[in-house]
Amino acid sequence: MFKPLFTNLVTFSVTVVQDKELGDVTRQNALELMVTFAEKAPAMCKKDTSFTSEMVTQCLSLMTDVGADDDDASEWCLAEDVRANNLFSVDTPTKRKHCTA
Amino acid sequence: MDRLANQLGGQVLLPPTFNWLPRMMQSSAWRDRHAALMAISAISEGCRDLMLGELDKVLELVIPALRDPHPRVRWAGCNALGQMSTDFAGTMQNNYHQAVLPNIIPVLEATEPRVQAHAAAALVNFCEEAEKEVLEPYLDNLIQHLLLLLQSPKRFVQEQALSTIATVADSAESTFGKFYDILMPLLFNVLKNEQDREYRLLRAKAMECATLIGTVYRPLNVESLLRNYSFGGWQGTNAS
Repeated sequence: MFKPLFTNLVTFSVTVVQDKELGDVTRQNALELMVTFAEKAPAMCKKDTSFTSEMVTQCLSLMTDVGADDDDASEWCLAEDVRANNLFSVDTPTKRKHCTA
Repeated sequence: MDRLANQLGGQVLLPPTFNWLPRMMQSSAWRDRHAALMAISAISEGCRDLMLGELDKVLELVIPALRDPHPRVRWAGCNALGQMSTDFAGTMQNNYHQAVLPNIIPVLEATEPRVQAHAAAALVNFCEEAEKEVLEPYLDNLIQHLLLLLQSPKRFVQEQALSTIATVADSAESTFGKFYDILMPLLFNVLKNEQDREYRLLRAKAMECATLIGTVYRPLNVESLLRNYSFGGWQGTNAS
C-alpha cells in the first residue's frame, strides 16, 4: 500500500530525524516509523535504494549523541550503577552479568 | 541498528555501515569512536553470517580501542568484544584467542572501575564459550588479574570479578584446580565478613562461585563449610 509513497516518506523521515530543532520524541518517532517499516515490510525497504544507507547514517549519527556535558567522562566514571545501563542483561541469581547487545 | 540488522540482514546493512565505521574509528572525537564500537555490538547478531567471514577486519577496528585514551571508548571496545564472543561463539574463542585475550586481560588494570568491570564482563562472554584447552595458557595471568579485582574498593567490581571467576572455573574444568587453595579462603572471607544487607549480592556471588568450584572439585572441607553456613549468619567455623 505504501510502495509509491515510500521513497518520499523515507526522505521526509530522515529530514525529521536530522533536525535538531525538533524535540527528541519527534525525531525518535520518525526513526521508529522507519524501523517499523523494516520490520513489517523488509523486502520493500531493501528495494528502496536510499533506505538502508540513510537509516545507517542516521542511526550512527544519533549514536554519537552520548555523554553531553561530560566530555572527559568524569561523571560517567563516578556513576556506579552499571545495572542502569540497558546494554547489560538483568542479573538473575543464576545468570552471570556480561555483555549484551 | 540491532533491529535493522535482524530485519534487513548483513548483505544490505554491512556495506553502508562499514563505509562509515573505519572513518569513525579514526575520528578525533571520542563520541564517533564510541558510536562505531556500539554499532558493531548492535549488528553482530543480525549480520552474523557475513561478519563471520570478516572477523579479522572487524577485530582490527575493535582491538586498538582497548587502549584508547578515552575510558568510554575502552568500555565500548570491551562491549563489542563481549558481544562478538557470544555472537561468533566458537570462532572467536578457537581462532582469535591470541588476538583477544592478551589485549583484554590488561584492561582489568584500568584506572576506571567501570572499565575494569566491563572488561571482566566481556571475559564472561568469551570464557563461557571457550574450551579448557584454549583457556589454559592464559589462566595464570587471568586469575591473577581477577584476584586483584576482588580487592577493589568498589563492590560492583568485586561482584563482576566473582561472576567472571565462576565462568572461568566452569570452562577451565580440571585445569582450574591449582587455584582452588588460593581462591576458596578468599571466597569464604567474603561470606564471613560482609554481613550487611547491601552485600547480599556479593555474598550470593561468592556462594555461587564457591559452590561451582566445590562441585567441580568436591573436597570435604567445602561440604562441611556449606553445612555450617546458615541464612542466619556465618558460624565462624575454621575453613580447614
